[in-house]
Amino acid sequence: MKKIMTWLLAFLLTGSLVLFCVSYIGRSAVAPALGDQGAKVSGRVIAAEKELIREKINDMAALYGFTAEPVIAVISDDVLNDLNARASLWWSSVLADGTPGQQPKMDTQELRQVLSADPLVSRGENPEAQAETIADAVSQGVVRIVLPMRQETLNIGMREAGKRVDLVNLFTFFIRVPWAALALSALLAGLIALLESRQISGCLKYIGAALGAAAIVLIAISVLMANAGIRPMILEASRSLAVQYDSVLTEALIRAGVLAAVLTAGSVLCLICFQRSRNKHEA
Amino acid sequence: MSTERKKPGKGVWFLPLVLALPFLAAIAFAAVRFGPAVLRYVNVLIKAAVVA
Repeated sequence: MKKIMTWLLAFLLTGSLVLFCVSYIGRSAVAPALGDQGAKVSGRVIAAEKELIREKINDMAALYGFTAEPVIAVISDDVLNDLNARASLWWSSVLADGTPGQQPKMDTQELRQVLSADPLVSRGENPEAQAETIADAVSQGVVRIVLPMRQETLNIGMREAGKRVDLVNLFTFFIRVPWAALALSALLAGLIALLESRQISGCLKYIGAALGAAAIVLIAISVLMANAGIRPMILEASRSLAVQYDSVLTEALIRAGVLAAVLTAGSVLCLICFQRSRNKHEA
Repeated sequence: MSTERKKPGKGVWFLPLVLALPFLAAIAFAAVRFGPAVLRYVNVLIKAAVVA
Protein backbone atom coordinates (compact mmCIF):
# COMPACT_ATOMS: atom_id res chain seq x y z
CA MET A 1 0.00 0.00 0.00
CA LYS A 2 2.81 2.37 0.97
CA LYS A 3 4.60 1.58 -2.28
CA ILE A 4 1.48 2.37 -4.34
CA MET A 5 1.03 5.65 -2.46
CA THR A 6 4.66 6.60 -3.07
CA TRP A 7 4.42 5.82 -6.80
CA LEU A 8 1.21 7.82 -6.99
CA LEU A 9 2.98 10.78 -5.36
CA ALA A 10 5.90 10.37 -7.80
CA PHE A 11 3.39 10.43 -10.66
CA LEU A 12 1.80 13.61 -9.29
CA LEU A 13 5.27 15.11 -8.78
CA THR A 14 6.03 14.47 -12.47
CA GLY A 15 2.78 16.22 -13.42
CA SER A 16 3.43 19.24 -11.22
CA LEU A 17 7.05 19.52 -12.49
CA VAL A 18 5.81 19.46 -16.10
CA LEU A 19 3.18 22.06 -15.22
CA PHE A 20 5.88 24.24 -13.64
CA CYS A 21 8.13 23.98 -16.71
CA VAL A 22 5.38 24.66 -19.26
CA SER A 23 3.85 27.57 -17.32
CA TYR A 24 7.30 29.00 -16.53
CA ILE A 25 8.24 28.98 -20.24
CA GLY A 26 4.87 30.60 -21.11
CA ARG A 27 5.29 33.20 -18.38
CA SER A 28 8.86 34.02 -19.53
CA ALA A 29 7.56 34.67 -23.05
CA VAL A 30 4.89 37.08 -21.76
CA ALA A 31 6.61 38.68 -18.73
CA PRO A 32 8.99 41.08 -20.57
CA ALA A 33 5.98 42.82 -22.14
CA LEU A 34 4.36 43.46 -18.76
CA GLY A 35 6.67 46.34 -17.70
CA ASP A 36 5.98 50.00 -18.49
CA GLN A 37 8.80 50.16 -21.05
CA GLY A 38 7.69 47.18 -23.16
CA ALA A 39 9.81 44.22 -24.24
CA LYS A 40 13.08 44.49 -26.12
CA VAL A 41 13.36 42.35 -29.23
CA SER A 42 16.47 40.60 -30.52
CA GLY A 43 18.73 42.06 -33.19
CA ARG A 44 17.74 39.22 -35.50
CA VAL A 45 14.07 40.28 -35.41
CA ILE A 46 15.03 43.91 -36.07
CA ALA A 47 17.23 42.85 -39.02
CA ALA A 48 14.43 40.69 -40.49
CA GLU A 49 11.89 43.52 -40.02
CA LYS A 50 14.29 45.97 -41.70
CA GLU A 51 14.50 43.65 -44.69
CA LEU A 52 10.68 43.49 -44.93
CA ILE A 53 10.44 47.29 -44.54
CA ARG A 54 13.03 47.74 -47.31
CA GLU A 55 10.87 45.60 -49.65
CA LYS A 56 7.71 47.46 -48.64
CA ILE A 57 9.26 50.92 -49.15
CA ASN A 58 10.72 49.88 -52.53
CA ASP A 59 7.21 48.79 -53.63
CA MET A 60 5.75 52.08 -52.36
CA ALA A 61 8.47 54.08 -54.12
CA ALA A 62 7.48 52.43 -57.41
CA LEU A 63 3.80 53.15 -56.69
CA TYR A 64 3.98 56.75 -55.38
CA GLY A 65 7.12 57.90 -57.18
CA PHE A 66 9.80 58.81 -54.60
CA THR A 67 13.43 57.85 -53.89
CA ALA A 68 13.40 54.85 -51.57
CA GLU A 69 16.88 54.91 -50.00
CA PRO A 70 16.60 58.15 -47.91
CA VAL A 71 13.21 56.97 -46.60
CA ILE A 72 14.63 53.52 -45.72
CA ALA A 73 17.48 55.27 -43.86
CA VAL A 74 14.94 57.06 -41.61
CA ILE A 75 13.66 53.70 -40.30
CA SER A 76 16.67 53.12 -38.05
CA ASP A 77 17.22 50.41 -35.42
CA ASP A 78 16.19 52.88 -32.68
CA VAL A 79 12.88 53.64 -34.42
CA LEU A 80 12.16 49.93 -34.83
CA ASN A 81 13.19 49.11 -31.24
CA ASP A 82 10.83 51.82 -29.97
CA LEU A 83 7.97 50.59 -32.19
CA ASN A 84 8.52 46.97 -31.09
CA ALA A 85 8.51 47.99 -27.43
CA ARG A 86 5.19 49.81 -27.94
CA ALA A 87 3.82 46.84 -29.90
CA SER A 88 4.67 44.58 -26.94
CA LEU A 89 2.71 46.99 -24.69
CA TRP A 90 -0.23 46.53 -27.07
CA TRP A 91 0.03 42.76 -26.57
CA SER A 92 0.31 43.12 -22.78
CA SER A 93 -2.77 45.36 -22.85
CA VAL A 94 -4.66 42.61 -24.73
CA LEU A 95 -3.58 40.04 -22.14
CA ALA A 96 -3.81 42.07 -18.94
CA ASP A 97 -6.90 44.25 -19.63
CA GLY A 98 -8.71 42.01 -22.08
CA THR A 99 -8.91 44.86 -24.61
CA PRO A 100 -6.45 45.87 -27.30
CA GLY A 101 -4.65 49.09 -26.37
CA GLN A 102 -3.53 51.97 -28.59
CA GLN A 103 -1.87 50.74 -31.74
CA PRO A 104 1.69 52.15 -31.90
CA LYS A 105 2.17 55.15 -34.14
CA MET A 106 5.29 56.35 -35.83
CA ASP A 107 6.41 59.96 -35.79
CA THR A 108 6.24 61.06 -39.43
CA GLN A 109 8.01 64.44 -39.10
CA GLU A 110 11.43 63.19 -40.23
CA LEU A 111 9.85 61.19 -43.05
CA ARG A 112 8.02 64.29 -44.29
CA GLN A 113 11.24 66.33 -44.24
CA VAL A 114 13.10 63.69 -46.22
CA LEU A 115 10.25 63.35 -48.73
CA SER A 116 9.88 67.13 -49.14
CA ALA A 117 13.57 67.30 -50.05
CA ASP A 118 13.17 64.48 -52.60
CA PRO A 119 13.33 65.93 -56.17
CA LEU A 120 10.84 63.32 -57.42
CA VAL A 121 8.24 64.53 -54.88
CA SER A 122 8.97 68.26 -55.10
CA ARG A 123 8.42 68.15 -58.87
CA GLY A 124 4.67 67.54 -58.34
CA GLU A 125 1.83 70.05 -58.04
CA ASN A 126 1.49 70.05 -54.25
CA PRO A 127 4.75 68.66 -52.84
CA GLU A 128 3.81 69.28 -49.16
CA ALA A 129 0.53 67.35 -49.38
CA GLN A 130 2.21 64.65 -51.46
CA ALA A 131 5.02 64.26 -48.89
CA GLU A 132 2.44 64.01 -46.08
CA THR A 133 0.40 61.34 -47.90
CA ILE A 134 3.50 59.25 -48.65
CA ALA A 135 4.83 59.68 -45.07
CA ASP A 136 1.50 58.48 -43.64
CA ALA A 137 1.42 55.48 -45.99
CA VAL A 138 5.03 54.57 -45.15
CA SER A 139 4.48 54.90 -41.38
CA GLN A 140 1.34 52.77 -41.61
CA GLY A 141 3.24 50.14 -43.59
CA VAL A 142 6.06 50.09 -41.02
CA VAL A 143 3.61 49.80 -38.09
CA ARG A 144 1.82 46.94 -39.85
CA ILE A 145 5.11 45.07 -40.21
CA VAL A 146 5.88 45.51 -36.49
CA LEU A 147 2.29 44.79 -35.37
CA PRO A 148 0.31 43.12 -38.15
CA MET A 149 -2.94 42.72 -36.16
CA ARG A 150 -6.49 43.73 -37.11
CA GLN A 151 -7.54 45.80 -34.11
CA GLU A 152 -11.27 45.81 -34.93
CA THR A 153 -11.45 42.02 -35.38
CA LEU A 154 -9.57 41.50 -32.13
CA ASN A 155 -11.86 43.92 -30.32
CA ILE A 156 -14.90 41.90 -31.43
CA GLY A 157 -13.16 38.61 -30.59
CA MET A 158 -12.15 39.85 -27.13
CA ARG A 159 -15.66 41.11 -26.42
CA GLU A 160 -17.16 37.73 -27.40
CA ALA A 161 -14.54 35.76 -25.46
CA GLY A 162 -15.03 38.07 -22.46
CA LYS A 163 -18.70 37.04 -22.29
CA ARG A 164 -17.69 33.41 -21.73
CA VAL A 165 -14.47 33.65 -19.69
CA ASP A 166 -12.91 36.25 -17.43
CA LEU A 167 -9.77 36.81 -19.48
CA VAL A 168 -8.11 39.21 -17.03
CA ASN A 169 -8.47 36.83 -14.07
CA LEU A 170 -7.39 33.93 -16.24
CA PHE A 171 -4.22 35.78 -17.21
CA THR A 172 -3.49 36.84 -13.60
CA PHE A 173 -3.95 33.20 -12.58
CA PHE A 174 -1.64 32.00 -15.37
CA ILE A 175 1.12 34.39 -14.26
CA ARG A 176 1.11 32.79 -10.79
CA VAL A 177 0.84 29.14 -11.91
CA PRO A 178 4.64 28.44 -12.14
CA TRP A 179 5.27 29.34 -8.49
CA ALA A 180 2.19 27.45 -7.33
CA ALA A 181 3.34 24.37 -9.30
CA LEU A 182 6.85 24.70 -7.85
CA ALA A 183 5.44 24.87 -4.31
CA LEU A 184 3.26 21.84 -5.05
CA SER A 185 6.31 19.95 -6.35
CA ALA A 186 8.23 20.73 -3.15
CA LEU A 187 5.24 19.56 -1.09
CA LEU A 188 4.95 16.29 -3.05
CA ALA A 189 8.70 15.64 -2.76
CA GLY A 190 8.40 16.26 0.99
CA LEU A 191 5.51 13.79 1.23
CA ILE A 192 7.56 11.15 -0.65
CA ALA A 193 10.44 11.72 1.79
CA LEU A 194 8.00 11.41 4.69
CA LEU A 195 6.62 8.10 3.39
CA GLU A 196 10.13 6.76 2.85
CA SER A 197 11.45 8.16 6.14
CA ARG A 198 12.67 4.73 7.34
CA GLN A 199 15.39 4.73 4.69
CA ILE A 200 15.91 8.26 3.44
CA SER A 201 17.84 7.17 0.31
CA GLY A 202 14.67 5.29 -0.79
CA CYS A 203 12.91 8.57 -1.55
CA LEU A 204 15.72 9.48 -3.99
CA LYS A 205 14.54 6.69 -6.31
CA TYR A 206 11.03 8.18 -6.58
CA ILE A 207 12.14 11.81 -6.76
CA GLY A 208 14.85 10.96 -9.32
CA ALA A 209 12.36 9.01 -11.43
CA ALA A 210 9.88 11.92 -11.31
CA LEU A 211 12.58 14.45 -12.32
CA GLY A 212 13.68 12.24 -15.23
CA ALA A 213 10.09 11.61 -16.34
CA ALA A 214 9.37 15.37 -16.27
CA ALA A 215 12.45 15.96 -18.49
CA ILE A 216 11.25 13.31 -20.98
CA VAL A 217 7.71 14.75 -21.09
CA LEU A 218 9.08 18.30 -21.48
CA ILE A 219 11.24 17.22 -24.43
CA ALA A 220 8.23 15.45 -26.00
CA ILE A 221 6.07 18.61 -25.63
CA SER A 222 8.87 20.77 -27.11
CA VAL A 223 9.27 18.46 -30.12
CA LEU A 224 5.50 18.47 -30.62
CA MET A 225 5.28 22.28 -30.42
CA ALA A 226 8.21 22.77 -32.79
CA ASN A 227 6.67 20.41 -35.37
CA ALA A 228 2.99 21.31 -34.94
CA GLY A 229 2.94 23.18 -38.24
CA ILE A 230 1.86 26.55 -36.78
CA ARG A 231 4.74 28.42 -38.44
CA PRO A 232 3.62 27.76 -42.04
CA MET A 233 0.12 29.02 -41.09
CA ILE A 234 1.57 32.24 -39.65
CA LEU A 235 3.96 32.62 -42.59
CA GLU A 236 1.03 32.32 -44.97
CA ALA A 237 -0.84 35.05 -43.07
CA SER A 238 2.04 37.45 -42.37
CA ARG A 239 5.78 37.25 -42.91
CA SER A 240 6.53 39.78 -40.18
CA LEU A 241 4.48 37.86 -37.59
CA ALA A 242 6.37 34.69 -38.60
CA VAL A 243 9.64 36.48 -37.76
CA GLN A 244 8.32 37.39 -34.30
CA TYR A 245 6.91 33.87 -33.79
CA ASP A 246 10.31 32.37 -34.70
CA SER A 247 11.99 34.55 -32.09
CA VAL A 248 9.48 33.59 -29.35
CA LEU A 249 9.60 29.87 -30.29
CA THR A 250 13.42 29.79 -30.33
CA GLU A 251 13.57 31.42 -26.88
CA ALA A 252 10.93 29.00 -25.55
CA LEU A 253 12.82 25.99 -26.95
CA ILE A 254 16.10 27.21 -25.42
CA ARG A 255 14.36 27.60 -22.03
CA ALA A 256 12.81 24.13 -22.38
CA GLY A 257 16.25 22.71 -23.19
CA VAL A 258 17.82 24.33 -20.13
CA LEU A 259 14.98 23.13 -17.87
CA ALA A 260 15.18 19.59 -19.33
CA ALA A 261 18.96 19.57 -18.71
CA VAL A 262 18.47 20.70 -15.09
CA LEU A 263 15.78 18.06 -14.52
CA THR A 264 17.95 15.34 -16.11
CA ALA A 265 20.96 16.35 -13.99
CA GLY A 266 18.77 16.23 -10.84
CA SER A 267 17.41 12.83 -11.86
CA VAL A 268 20.87 11.35 -12.56
CA LEU A 269 22.19 12.71 -9.25
CA CYS A 270 19.27 11.27 -7.25
CA LEU A 271 19.43 7.87 -8.98
CA ILE A 272 23.24 7.58 -8.58
CA CYS A 273 22.94 8.43 -4.85
CA PHE A 274 20.13 5.87 -4.51
CA GLN A 275 22.11 3.17 -6.35
CA ARG A 276 25.25 3.76 -4.27
CA SER A 277 23.39 3.67 -0.98
CA ARG A 278 21.57 0.51 -2.06
CA ASN A 279 24.80 -1.19 -3.09
CA LYS A 280 26.38 -0.21 0.25
CA HIS A 281 23.31 -1.48 2.09
CA GLU A 282 23.39 -4.84 0.27
CA ALA A 283 27.14 -5.25 0.79
CA MET B 1 24.44 -21.91 -16.27
CA SER B 2 25.95 -18.66 -15.11
CA THR B 3 26.17 -18.25 -11.36
CA GLU B 4 27.02 -14.53 -11.58
CA ARG B 5 24.55 -12.45 -9.61
CA LYS B 6 22.84 -9.62 -11.43
CA LYS B 7 24.14 -6.29 -10.15
CA PRO B 8 21.36 -4.69 -8.06
CA GLY B 9 19.67 -1.46 -9.06
CA LYS B 10 20.28 -1.60 -12.81
CA GLY B 11 16.58 -1.26 -13.61
CA VAL B 12 16.41 2.03 -11.73
CA TRP B 13 17.51 3.88 -14.88
CA PHE B 14 14.30 2.85 -16.67
CA LEU B 15 12.06 4.24 -13.94
CA PRO B 16 11.87 7.80 -15.44
CA LEU B 17 10.77 6.30 -18.76
CA VAL B 18 8.16 4.10 -17.07
CA LEU B 19 6.84 7.08 -15.10
CA ALA B 20 6.76 9.24 -18.24
CA LEU B 21 4.84 6.66 -20.29
CA PRO B 22 1.30 7.62 -19.10
CA PHE B 23 2.04 11.30 -19.83
CA LEU B 24 3.48 10.48 -23.26
CA ALA B 25 0.44 8.32 -24.03
CA ALA B 26 -1.90 11.16 -22.96
CA ILE B 27 0.04 13.68 -25.10
CA ALA B 28 0.00 11.34 -28.11
CA PHE B 29 -3.73 10.70 -27.68
CA ALA B 30 -4.50 14.43 -27.35
CA ALA B 31 -2.32 15.24 -30.39
CA VAL B 32 -4.03 12.62 -32.56
CA ARG B 33 -7.58 13.18 -31.28
CA PHE B 34 -7.71 16.97 -30.89
CA GLY B 35 -4.58 18.17 -32.79
CA PRO B 36 -6.15 18.62 -36.26
CA ALA B 37 -9.21 20.46 -34.88
CA VAL B 38 -7.06 22.76 -32.72
CA LEU B 39 -4.79 23.51 -35.68
CA ARG B 40 -7.81 24.34 -37.83
CA TYR B 41 -9.06 26.82 -35.20
CA VAL B 42 -5.59 28.33 -34.86
CA ASN B 43 -5.41 28.75 -38.64
CA VAL B 44 -8.78 30.53 -38.75
CA LEU B 45 -7.81 32.70 -35.76
CA ILE B 46 -4.51 33.73 -37.35
CA LYS B 47 -6.14 34.58 -40.67
CA ALA B 48 -8.85 36.63 -38.94
CA ALA B 49 -6.51 38.55 -36.65
CA VAL B 50 -3.58 39.27 -38.95
CA VAL B 51 -3.24 41.89 -41.66
CA ALA B 52 -1.76 40.19 -44.72
